[in-house]
Amino acid sequence: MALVARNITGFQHVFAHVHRCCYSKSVQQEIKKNCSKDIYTNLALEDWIYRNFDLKNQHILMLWQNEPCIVIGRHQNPWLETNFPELPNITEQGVKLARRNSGGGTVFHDLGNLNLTFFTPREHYDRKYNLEILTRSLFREFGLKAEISPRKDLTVRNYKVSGTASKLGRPNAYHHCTLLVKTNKVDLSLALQRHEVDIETNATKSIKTKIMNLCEDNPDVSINKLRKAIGWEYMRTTALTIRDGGLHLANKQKGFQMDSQKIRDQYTSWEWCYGKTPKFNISKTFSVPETLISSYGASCDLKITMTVECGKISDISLYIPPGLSSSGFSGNANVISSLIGHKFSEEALNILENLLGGYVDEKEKFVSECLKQLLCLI
Amino acid sequence: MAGRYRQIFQIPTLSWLVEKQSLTKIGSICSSNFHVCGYSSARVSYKLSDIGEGIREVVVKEWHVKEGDVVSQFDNICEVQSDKASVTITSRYDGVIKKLHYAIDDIALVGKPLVDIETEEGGETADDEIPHDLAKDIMVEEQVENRDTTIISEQPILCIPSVRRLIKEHNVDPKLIKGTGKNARILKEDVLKFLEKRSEPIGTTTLIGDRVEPIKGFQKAMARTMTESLKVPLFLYSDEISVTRLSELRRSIKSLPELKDVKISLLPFFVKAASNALQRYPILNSSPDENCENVTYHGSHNIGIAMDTKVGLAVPAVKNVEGLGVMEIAKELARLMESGREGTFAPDDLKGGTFSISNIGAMSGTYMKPIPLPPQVAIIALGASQVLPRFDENRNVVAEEILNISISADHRIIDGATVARFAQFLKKQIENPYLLFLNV
Repeated sequence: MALVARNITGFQHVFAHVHRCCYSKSVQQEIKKNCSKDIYTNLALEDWIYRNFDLKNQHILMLWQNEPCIVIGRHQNPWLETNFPELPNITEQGVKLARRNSGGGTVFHDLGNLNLTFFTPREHYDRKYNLEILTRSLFREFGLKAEISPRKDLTVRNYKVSGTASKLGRPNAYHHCTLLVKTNKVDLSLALQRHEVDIETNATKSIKTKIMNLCEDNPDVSINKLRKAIGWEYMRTTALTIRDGGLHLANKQKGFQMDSQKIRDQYTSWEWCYGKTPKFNISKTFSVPETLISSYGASCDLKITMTVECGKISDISLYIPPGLSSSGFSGNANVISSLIGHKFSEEALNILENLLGGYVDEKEKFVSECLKQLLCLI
Repeated sequence: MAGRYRQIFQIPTLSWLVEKQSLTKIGSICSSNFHVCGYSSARVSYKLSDIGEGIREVVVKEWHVKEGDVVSQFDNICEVQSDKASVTITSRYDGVIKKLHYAIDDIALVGKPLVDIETEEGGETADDEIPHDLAKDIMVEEQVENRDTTIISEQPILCIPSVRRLIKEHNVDPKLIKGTGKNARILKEDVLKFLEKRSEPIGTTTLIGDRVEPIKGFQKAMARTMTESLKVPLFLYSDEISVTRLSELRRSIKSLPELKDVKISLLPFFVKAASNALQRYPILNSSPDENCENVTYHGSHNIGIAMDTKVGLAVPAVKNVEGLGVMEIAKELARLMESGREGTFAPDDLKGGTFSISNIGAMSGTYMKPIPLPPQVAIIALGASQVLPRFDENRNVVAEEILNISISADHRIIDGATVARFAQFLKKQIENPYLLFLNV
């Protein structure tokens, strides 16, 4: 490998780390390559390994890809982070939404993106170490100089090429990251485009950064080559076993067949994807048509705030302008109480549609229409 | 947002906390005194342990428990998030949650109390953990058990310090306790259940009979080896040996002044005779492998003597008999028998036997069918000696001291003729004791 001779500091770097790992001579490292391209299956596999595998003497690196999907962090709000209503329309099959178990921000995956998960016991959790394996392999194989940002992202020429997240528990921990190789940037921006929504929440907010595909820096980079390069780099650090086909091997593990379907079901369930959203308030302001207000000239904006907890509408508050209240409008109890307790999803929208037909009063109709607009986010 | 966080860091009391804990005023507390006073001795302030990577604060994102919930060790308590890492905090104790120090979305500080748990054990302080562990996996050292070499513990034994103390207090072998916690951890309930099952504390004799002995089973080892032996087809060969001359020899040796303190029975002679015979027929001093594909001929004759000891059936071996004289064998036997009486064998004594002799005749009995101890292939049982009338060369009735031997051998690799020849050779040595010393 001609690259090896070029940069001596790079090599010293390698040695420093090889030395550091020598203590774990008895720790085997294994690379699993998943066959599935389904985000939910892959998340289930990741989860299963995290919960059940004995990693004391074996570290695992999992390499996987997904069909177009958007993955939000454990404590994030999908309506805030994604272009939610448009997701089914982006790309031919639509973009799936999934929530992962680790923290961090929202990412877009497609087949031009490589995901890596480093599984270790809790005591050996070290993100920097893992990311350095990546930087070394990128340099060795493609001459790409990637840097590790303070937020533990990989950047090339100040453009982000990789995002990181991790999950720590007992006794295992994992650190996973993405690598943008040849992602469709148009789809990515469409999917991640946020609407102008007034959402108040303590959910983790993603931080937008400029991204770049690795292939833009070096056209030679492809997913397969990258996978091999990283695999080699991972193997170089300690004693090794390399195996392909994560699902096949995992199937040999006791209980995996039964558990994996259950775990996958959890990841596809509404309760997980949406129900785990931290409590938030979503508001929208509407200007009241003049016909409904007894002329006052004062502010004529109706503000509706919906409180959503565990993905279900728990409260709706109306801020009624004086113009509206003076005409005897107190806030329609019917439409509000019928929505409370329902999922913040199409379900609520359908209920509203049904009720809308039954209203005669203009004001009630108007409020319902506003609520409908609010729910258009879904 | 950043400003808000900073403010909280400087004034670490949160209003809802102050409501519940009306001990001190805002501003006069320094954060380390949160959990001072007012607590009962069993209440533990469980601090947030180090997350690693120099992280000092995290955001509490989800509680899995609420006040009043009962938790067991290793149950999930909450999810916290730092940077991009989502961390699951698990409980170190069994007990009841008494207080949650943070609300959702609050900043929790590493090293500060996270929850208060009321445990059953009093007075334990939740020491600030060293970075790696919330519940440290304690490896209980495998106690060197003199008595027990056949029970092999493959797993390290996991339990928390308080459970380990309990185990030590009751002098229990942790290998015998079945752990029902995660990763086969031994929980307090397991220890208590185990203690209930035992009718008396460890350290007293193992009785043979109806009592169910759950511990250091010499009995258990015996049961296991015998079951294994059953898989082996055995060939039994019995014969009687006249030990008249041997007994005479023994009596004359005993009277020698040098050997006054050494107890000589017939056994050392038999051991030496067996060793000489094994030289001739080494296949009886071998071991087949599991699938009976290869046979290992052992170089040394480590002859095990089956004895009934304080702890049950034990087969300590006299090593390298081929190099020992009868007196040395006798001394070694005496030592082993002493160990048997005390019940304290060195682990080496019980290992490495290649051939066995059972002197059950010392108690009583004439004919027996002994079972070789795997992976050995042969065993001799000596019956009791009796004075019986026999015919001599001239057809006169004479009184002979007769002793019956029974030899069992693994018929997969040893044929009957070999055993017969071995037995005849042995018999010749015993009936003509001078041959023992000539090794002819």
